Amino acid sequence: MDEMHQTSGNDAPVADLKALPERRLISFAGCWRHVYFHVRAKPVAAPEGRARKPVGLALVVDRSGSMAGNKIETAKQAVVAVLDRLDERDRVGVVIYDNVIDVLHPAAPASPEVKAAIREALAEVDARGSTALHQGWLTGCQAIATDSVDTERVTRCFLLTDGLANVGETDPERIAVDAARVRERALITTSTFGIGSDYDEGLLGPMAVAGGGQFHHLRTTEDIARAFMGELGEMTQVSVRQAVLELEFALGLDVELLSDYWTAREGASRVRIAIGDLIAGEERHIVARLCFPAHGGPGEWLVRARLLWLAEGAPRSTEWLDLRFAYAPETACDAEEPDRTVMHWACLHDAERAKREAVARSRRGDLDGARISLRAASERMRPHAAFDADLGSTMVSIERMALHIGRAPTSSEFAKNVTYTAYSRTRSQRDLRRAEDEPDEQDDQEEQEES
Amino acid sequence: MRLTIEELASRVGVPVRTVRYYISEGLLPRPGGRGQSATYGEEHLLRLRLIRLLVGQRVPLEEIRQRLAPLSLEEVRALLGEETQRAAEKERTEELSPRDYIATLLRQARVREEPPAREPEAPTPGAFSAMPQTPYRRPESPRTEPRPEPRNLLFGSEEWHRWELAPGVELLVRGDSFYRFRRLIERLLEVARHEFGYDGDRW
Repeated sequence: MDEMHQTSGNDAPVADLKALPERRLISFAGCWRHVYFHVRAKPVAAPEGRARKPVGLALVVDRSGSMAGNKIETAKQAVVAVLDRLDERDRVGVVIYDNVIDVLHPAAPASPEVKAAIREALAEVDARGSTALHQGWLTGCQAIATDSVDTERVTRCFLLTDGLANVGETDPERIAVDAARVRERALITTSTFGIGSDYDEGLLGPMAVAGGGQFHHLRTTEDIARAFMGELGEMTQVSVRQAVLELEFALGLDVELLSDYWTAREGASRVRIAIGDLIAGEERHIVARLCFPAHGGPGEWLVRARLLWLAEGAPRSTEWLDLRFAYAPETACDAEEPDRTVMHWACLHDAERAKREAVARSRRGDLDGARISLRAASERMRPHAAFDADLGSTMVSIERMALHIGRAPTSSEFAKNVTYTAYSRTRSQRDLRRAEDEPDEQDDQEEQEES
Repeated sequence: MRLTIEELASRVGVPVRTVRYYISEGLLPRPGGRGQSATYGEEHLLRLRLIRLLVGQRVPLEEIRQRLAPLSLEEVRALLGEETQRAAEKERTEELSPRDYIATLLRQARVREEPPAREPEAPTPGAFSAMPQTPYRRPESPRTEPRPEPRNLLFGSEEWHRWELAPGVELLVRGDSFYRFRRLIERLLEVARHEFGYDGDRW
């Protein structure tokens, strides 16, 4: 295990990477193997390491007609609450959009004067028009962007919306690709906040994943301020910025990710997986699936992995970790016990994906398909559940979901919840919508849907 | 020039299955020879390079097919030259500051927003003019396109198999159902082969 464990030789703050394959042997007939990556930002012992860090923040708020009333008023209050937390060390900009994009205040140091000006401008804002989500969001990113890449300040764009993008670019995949570009080129992270039951989680979810941020499903208007403040709090504690997991391999191998992270291929033999910002002590569990082609005789595959990130403005990385896979007859492959840690995470992330897929199918009216995707995940999990209590209970929960999902298309609220939970779990993100001492509601809600 | 499919794929830096996919979708011509002895030439190489450049500019595959189909080898060569130059220009935007880069994305978004020039509509054949026209649209989520990217499963992890039974007649089967109904599908294809004179070889 120790040779699989790599830490960067640089000064603190540091991150480390662990890589663990499911099996070392691969079948002559071709097969896939899971690999588990563990990423961790080292905890910082010294109290000065916990000092608040300056941030750059663009707040982009939907003012389309459907936001009228309580939603827009609460959103404005949430923006004011965020302003109160910032000071001159931070930069802040506010964009309000419907079909027209309105830069309420260009990005500036959050001085008392700037904050007062934003408050005043906000007071005038009411709901109207339709939703130019993509342009509104990009305008926010542009407002907070600087002339040279800001390596010092954690910079994010918060996008709050309650509706579907219906003006300008509306294709989720294209918008997500833009979010990935903005993250890569400008080091601006995008987080998305969807409120109510009419927004598109199929857009906001991938957009946040591509943007390296977090997707928040807000059930009530009270959740707006909690999620804003929660994420702002995390931003000020970031120690490892813009972490990227890089995999290298020879031509012919295929890589697929079970966890919800954005992947980009560079040429045919390198993959970059965007992990995002980490707080000191934070961990991420990432599962990839490698598809090995068939092979006529003895042979070996080498897959290398390393973690890249920014810390205190400078690029850093771990050494490369080598993972070796050797071709062997089917019987030898079957005889090798799969690693339990790897299968634990692989099955958990597979289950989240199956739930999300089931809900998507159910929403399309494909009830049969919804049930099948859950049952299939449950079957994949069965051989491993005997050794693993978490997998056992996950299996029970997806079997239960399979029972009721075949009856009627699920509600939009349920679909959003499942999507939110899937992203949170596979990205190891905390639920920022509630106070620390409140219980986890997720499982209750899944049960509510059943009854 | 005589290349195997592996050589062709590695020269352009794409997986072999992408080449196969382009051939099955009619973006690339079929190879000379069949099976192990299939060979690919300059035409394949230039067209594949051009396709990759256009894919890089996010041009939809259907559009690429329509644009490339009528071109001769010389025209392909000329277009490849132009596109390579354009790609080099794009690379220069890498020099832009973050603010200017995002401004470029905004401009591109506004250009896309402008409605494309519409082609004059073809006259509807008389016999059908009285019937309501409901163009067949494939469901949004099924994807048959193997991606050159490692699949970003965020946009639906579903795999769909597709067979063209005859021009304008397709069979779509979701991955899991394919394994469930494999024998039945084989029989269906057998019937289709017989009835339509279907001779596709996509398995």
